[in-house]
Order: sequence, then C-alpha cells, then structure tokens
Amino acid sequence: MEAYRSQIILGSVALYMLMCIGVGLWAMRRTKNSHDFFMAGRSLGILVTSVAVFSSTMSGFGFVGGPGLVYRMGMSSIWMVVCTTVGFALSFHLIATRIRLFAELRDSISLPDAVGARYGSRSTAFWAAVAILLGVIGYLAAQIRAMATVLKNLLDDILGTYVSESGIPLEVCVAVSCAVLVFYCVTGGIIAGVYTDVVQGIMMVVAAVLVCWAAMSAVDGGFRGMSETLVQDDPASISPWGTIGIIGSLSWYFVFALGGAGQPHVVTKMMMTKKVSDIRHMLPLSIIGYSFTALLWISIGLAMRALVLQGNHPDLVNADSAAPQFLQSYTNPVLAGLVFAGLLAAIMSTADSFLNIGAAAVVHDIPRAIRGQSLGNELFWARTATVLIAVLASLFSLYAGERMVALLGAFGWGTFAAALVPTVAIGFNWKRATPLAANVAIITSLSVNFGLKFFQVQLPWGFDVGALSLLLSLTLFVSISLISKPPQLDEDIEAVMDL
Amino acid sequence: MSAERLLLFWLLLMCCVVGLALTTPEPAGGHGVPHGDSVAMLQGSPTPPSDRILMLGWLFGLTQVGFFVTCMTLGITRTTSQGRGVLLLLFAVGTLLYAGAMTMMVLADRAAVRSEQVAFIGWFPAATTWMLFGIWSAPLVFVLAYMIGFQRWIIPPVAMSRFEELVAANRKQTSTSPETAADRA
Repeated sequence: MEAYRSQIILGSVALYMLMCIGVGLWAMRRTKNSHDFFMAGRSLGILVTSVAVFSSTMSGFGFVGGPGLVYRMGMSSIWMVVCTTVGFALSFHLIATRIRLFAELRDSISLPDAVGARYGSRSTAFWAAVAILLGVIGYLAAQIRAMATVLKNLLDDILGTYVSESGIPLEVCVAVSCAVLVFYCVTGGIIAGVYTDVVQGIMMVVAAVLVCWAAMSAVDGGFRGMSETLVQDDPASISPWGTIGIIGSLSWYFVFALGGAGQPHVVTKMMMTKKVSDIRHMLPLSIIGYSFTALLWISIGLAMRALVLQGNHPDLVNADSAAPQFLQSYTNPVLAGLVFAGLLAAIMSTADSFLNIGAAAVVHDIPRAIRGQSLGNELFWARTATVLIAVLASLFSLYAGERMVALLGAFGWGTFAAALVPTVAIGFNWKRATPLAANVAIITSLSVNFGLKFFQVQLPWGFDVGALSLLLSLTLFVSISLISKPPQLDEDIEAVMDL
Repeated sequence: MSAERLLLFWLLLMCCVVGLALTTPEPAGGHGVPHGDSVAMLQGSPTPPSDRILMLGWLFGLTQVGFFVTCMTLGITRTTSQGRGVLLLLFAVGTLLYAGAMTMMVLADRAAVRSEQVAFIGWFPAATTWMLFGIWSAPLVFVLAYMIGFQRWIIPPVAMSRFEELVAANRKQTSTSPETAADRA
C-alpha cells in the first residue's frame, strides 16, 4: 500500500471532487430563483445548518495555517481555538435568532439586505456590502491559492517529472480546483454549498480525530511526552501564552471569540433554517463539530514541534509544511488521502460561502443600495457574478504577489469582525443604535485594519491589528449611538426588536 | 445601569487596560525570538514577563469576560420576565466560573514563571490545563442557558406568536401594495 501512497491520496482527492460535482448537479434542479440561490429557500434542517456553520468557520487556514502556527509559536494560536465555546455562545445569543427573524420579516436574501432593513438606511447596507466584498476577494484569493498549492504538491508527486522541472504549473492547479468550485457554486448556488458543507464537515471531523490519534502515537508518551519535551526546550512555548506572550494571545482571543458574530459567511447560514426553534439545537452541534476539527490544529502542531526538538524528524524550513509533512511521514496512505481530501474540503467549504455572499453583494446589495432595486433576472446575474468573482480572485491569487494575497487573507477575519460585529451583533439587539454609528464603525474598521496591515505596523507585545480595530469600532459605535438622537425605526422592525 | 451603558463601561475599561499595556516599554524580543536550533520556530522572550504586564493581561482577560457576558444578555427576550431569577443565577455562576478559570490560569502561569519547576495537571503544565479545559468549558454554562431556556428566555411562545402576526401583516401589506400590483400587471 505504501508504494501507491501518492496514487491513493490523489484518488481520494479526485473522488471528493467528483462528489462535489455530483452535489452541484443535484442542487441545480432545486435552484429555481435567486431566493434559492442565496438563501436555500430558507428550508434547511438542524444538522445541515449546524455542519454548514462550523465547517464554514473552519477554513483551510485552520487545517494548514493552524498547525503551522502551533509549530512556530507554541500555544499562542490555540487562543483562536479555545474561544470556540464562548464564540459560538456569543454568536447564537446575539445574532442567530435575531437575524433569522429579520430575514423572514423582510424576506432578506443577504446580510446587507437585513442590515438595510434594520437601520432603514441604504448607506449602511452599502457600506456593509463593500466591507463584505473587500473581505471576500482577499479571503477567496488566499483560499484559492492554498487549494492550488495543495493540488500542485499532490500532482507533482506523481506527474511532476513528466511535465517540466518545476512540475505542474500553479496556473493549471488554480484552473482545475476553481473549475470544480465554480461548477457546483454556479449550478447549485448555496444549496450545493451547504450540502457539500455537510460532507466536507463530516470528513473534517473524521480526519481530525484520526490525525489526533496518529499524533499521540507518533510521539513517545503522547501529549504528556510532547509537553515534557517542549518544557525542557522552552517552557514559554507550552505555557498558555506560547511565544507571543499574554497580551498578544488575549488580543487573538478577543478578536476570534467576538469576531464569529460578524463573519458574513457564517451569519448568512443562520438565516437559512427552516424553523426558528431549530436554532437552539444548532449551538451545541456547531461547538462539538468545530472542537473536534480543532484537534487537528493542536495535535499536528505540538507533535511536529516535539518530533523536531527530539531529533526524530528533520527541521522544517517552512512552518506551514508541518501538516503535509506529518501526513506524509506519520499516517498510513488511506488516512493521508482522507485528510488531504478533508483539507480541500475545509478550504472549499469556506470558499463556496464567500463566492455566494460576494455574488449577492454584487448583483443584489450594492445595486439595491445605490438604485433602490436589485438587477433584473437576478438568478442569471448571480451565476454570472459567481464566475466573475472566482476568476477575479484566481487572477488576484496568481498575479497580485504573495504579500498582497497574504495581506488580504489576513485582512478577512479581522475586517469582518471589526466592521460587522458592532453593526450586526450589537445593532440588531439595540434599538438605539444609529445608521451614523454603524457607518462610522464600518469605515473606521476598514481604514484602521487595512492601513495598519498595508504599512506593516507591528503593535507592541504582539497585539493583533484586528483586535485593535474591533475595540475602536465597538467603542465608537456604542458612544456615537448613545450621544445621538434615538433613531426612528420602521414599525415592524421596532416590534421585532421588542420581542 | 442599562446593558448598553455597561457595555460602554467595559469597552472604556478595556481601552484603558490595552492603552496601558501598549505604552508599557517592551523589552527586545518581548513577543518571541528566533529559536536557536530551528529556522521556522520561535521561542519565548528571554526576559520573563513583568508583574505589571501579567496584571494588565489578567485585567484584559477579565474585562473581556465582563464584556462578553454583558453582550450575551442583549439577546434575552423583552416580552416576559418569567424565570428571570434562574437565568440571572445561571449567568452569575457562568461569569464566576469563567472569571475564576481566567484567574487560576494567570496565577498558575505566574507560579511557573517564578519557579524552576513546572507543575503538571494531566497531560499539560497546570496553567495550560486551565486554559484548555477551564477557559474552553466555563462558557458552556451560557450554552446550557441558551439550550434549556430557549423558549423561556430567548424567544418565548408569546413572542413567536407576535412575530407570526407581524409577518402575516407584512405579507398582506406587500400583496396589496400598488408596487406589487404593478409588478403583477
């Protein structure tokens, strides 16, 4: 079996991609209008929505970047994972029910739609759509690049030497992986997105649990053995703060715990449940699913750091290769195949959500905010916009330079958090929140986040830029709303906010 | 004090704590230095964290706990105050457990930094165990409150009926509006 390792892995990935195409074809028959395309007809059950929520939250960053961060910095990045319970609890207490009620009341098909209805302001809906579109392009480009890089590594193992010295061109890998993604997103819209999310989510959980087991077996003494090795080398790396220290770690906790309530690709899924009462069961299911997938993040990172320090594995040149190297060296080929497919699943389950909300921003939210109505024949334009956004993000990922892609990829979570947590998570629960406060919060967060990242400003003590812009936008939002005259709300909106 | 004013209080307090931390001089390599034996690894600062930074970090953690719990209270129904006592009790217990786990973690870490020996609880050093199991699990109380109290504290049947009336009224209004009639024509 070991002799066919590369073929087994590639075969698993090919099977997974065929499954995505199959789901796209199946979902095409269920997608009859733009409401189905963007909102799945608001007809999803508990399990489908819960898995869609956690699998879109755990992106390729968690499966590749997460273990890399643990390898590089020890426990620091675990704060992005340990916030799971409070993060989901905040998202559900603040937004899950509220956004579902607004979506049904005003028949909203996107987050900016609901924002426009809540604030009675086209400008607030416009700024929310702009923030989403900017974040989507950056995040999507980073996901596409990650997907193509994984595929290139796999194809190079088998075909690389027959093609050229540098292996399969990255452009080909971008084209292949994007073609599958775009196919199921264009044909089946969000219905295909959420049903592939279910398969992707289950694969991610199974892969993560098995990898955690493999990691415990790879190091003598399991987790205790890893901890003792790390303590002997550098106690700080296995302390709660890792190498970055207490202030930097807690800034990540702040932005990742609270930021979940502002991620449009996650919040939009909460608008799609069939019944409001289903939401109560989604909370524990999402936490359980996400926590299991996070085992991969923690276990591979710690195991690889310990194995290298013990001298049982060669030093890594690049921290992001921790996960691929672990899978190549310490798992059997079938598990490696499952995990590589799970890795693509993690990337695609986030990318398909971004494509969908990006298309909604282009054909629905921005035209509506500017002209007061969305485009005619919305379903056709939604499919066209999905293709165009994927092409744009692919070109961006290939030609904008790694720094720009990484910059906008990192820009994603913090931008959504800082721009949308005040406007959506707080504003949908507080009648006194004003459109002016929401606009100021969104514009400030975009400027601070992008400005500090663009000029590569390093804050003291490793404090995260996203956390700073979130803190600023929240403080401005609450202060401006409190000193402004209370806004006049539409009667039905006020009645729902009083529930 | 209303929940919104309490939110502002926590935010301003957090701004002060973060401001004090960011203006505290950071020693060279304060948030990690390259590892001597590995090109892609970092290791902790050669200077142990001062008590001032540990104190500011602890306060930053506690203000986050206060802010998060206050945020969660915003999602509680306004239609009825039935069973509010049980909810308050659950939130109080949850807050105490959460703040307690944060405090125990900081204390255990301080003890480890100041002594030569690192104490273990189970698989990990004591402070890390508090982080992985205490900080992760303490907010489960709020998850429990959401699940068991969904129909009492989040969206009670009376609120749901009111909502259904609103939706019905909205649909009726939409179907009889001149714009809809023009669309149909």
